[in-house]
Amino acid sequence: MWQRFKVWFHKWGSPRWFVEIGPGWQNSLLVIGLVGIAVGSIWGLAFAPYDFHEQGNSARIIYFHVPSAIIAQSLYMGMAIMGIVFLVWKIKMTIVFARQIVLVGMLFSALALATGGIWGLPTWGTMGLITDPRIFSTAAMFFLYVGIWVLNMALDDVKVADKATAVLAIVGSVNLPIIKFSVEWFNSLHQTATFTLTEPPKMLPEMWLPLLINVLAFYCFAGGVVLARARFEALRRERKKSWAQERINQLIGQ
Amino acid sequence: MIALLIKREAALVVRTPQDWLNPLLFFFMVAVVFAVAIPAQSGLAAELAPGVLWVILLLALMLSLDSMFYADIRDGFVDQVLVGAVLPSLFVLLKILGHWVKIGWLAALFAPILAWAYGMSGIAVFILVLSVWFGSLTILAIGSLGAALTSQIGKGGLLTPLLVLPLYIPTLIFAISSVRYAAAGLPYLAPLLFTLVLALVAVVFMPAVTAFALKIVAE
Repeated sequence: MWQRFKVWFHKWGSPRWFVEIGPGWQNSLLVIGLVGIAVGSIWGLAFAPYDFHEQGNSARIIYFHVPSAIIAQSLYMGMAIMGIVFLVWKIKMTIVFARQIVLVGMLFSALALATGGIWGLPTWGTMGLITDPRIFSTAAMFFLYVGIWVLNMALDDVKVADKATAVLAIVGSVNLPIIKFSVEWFNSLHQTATFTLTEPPKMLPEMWLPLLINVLAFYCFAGGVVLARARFEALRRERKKSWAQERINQLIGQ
Repeated sequence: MIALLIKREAALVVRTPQDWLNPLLFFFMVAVVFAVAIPAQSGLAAELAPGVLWVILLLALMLSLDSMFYADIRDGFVDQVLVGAVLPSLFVLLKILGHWVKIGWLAALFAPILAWAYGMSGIAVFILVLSVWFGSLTILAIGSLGAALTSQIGKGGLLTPLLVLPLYIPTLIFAISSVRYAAAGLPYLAPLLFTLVLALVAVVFMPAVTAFALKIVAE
């Protein structure tokens, strides 16, 4: 069993295998993700209980804010881990993944910031959103994504850009614990984590269940998008090989 | 070998004064110009001074990053280092320390003039000097990575700050809050020591990372 898993796991390092197997994974992840987002969002926005305590309907933006923030951080961590694996073991598929994560992660962190702002403005009042530690550490993550993206645009050589992306992603990952613990270390208005591994959430199950569905669905969706982007990038990089030629011709319908 | 490298850095300080003079002049000029933005006789100047002076210093230091490897790459010195003449991370470490001594120390030395002009007084000025002294080392150590990554790109100028600016947030927080606490009469030692810790951590780890980045872009 373990041996078979290892063989299967190692296959992900092969661009050819990945391009062949990609559509299945990518499509099922995208379908699960989109269905999940639809279920979680409709449940959360229309049927989950109204927050009588303090925030009313404005608290419902949590169903988009928490998932996008979690995904943005997970993608960053994924990118940094891929970067380490690429620099240490020189597995070429890992950097394809890492570089395709950049734009997706950038969009999800932008979504987290935008939903956070829309949520925070009416509930926190005029406290000045940008001075909150959680917000500017998340903004820093967004700008780290932007920095890698801009650097990728400036570097023409693919090999140099690959390694530069990996180095910058690894160094920037020091920001992740700062985001995570900013609500505990500093004087922040932001509430603490909704989901932890050790305790059940302090909400009604009818409220956190759609949120959990949305978090998992956002994971699937982001994974599907990254796989789709990585598949085309793998094909583009291997375009000189005969199997890739065949595949490209097949795709453009010749 | 180390003595030769140090001697080389010292010669560069004397022979290329624009490398350290321009950032300092920028620091002074922007600090003076910024005073226009603060309402006169409102007492706001002293309150804003720690943050304002620190952000301006950060900009000045980032502008100086481009000169860190530029000349050495142009005249082939970095290539000599990379083929094994010197340990690359040692070369980067000396570059960082050289920049720190010529820009960071001078900025720390002249910061009190601006602090007094902004109306700060007492122990806060001294803490500002210390925070600039420690913090500029962190900024140059982390910034060396940005300088190395963009060193082969013709117009790297605006790209370097974009790469490294997000990494400066912890240093800025601790440095500014130490000065602010000192001005308010609160215990300021913890954030000041955190500034020092960040500087030490950065100066231990960044030379190796930057040396690796130099090797990447030289290929």
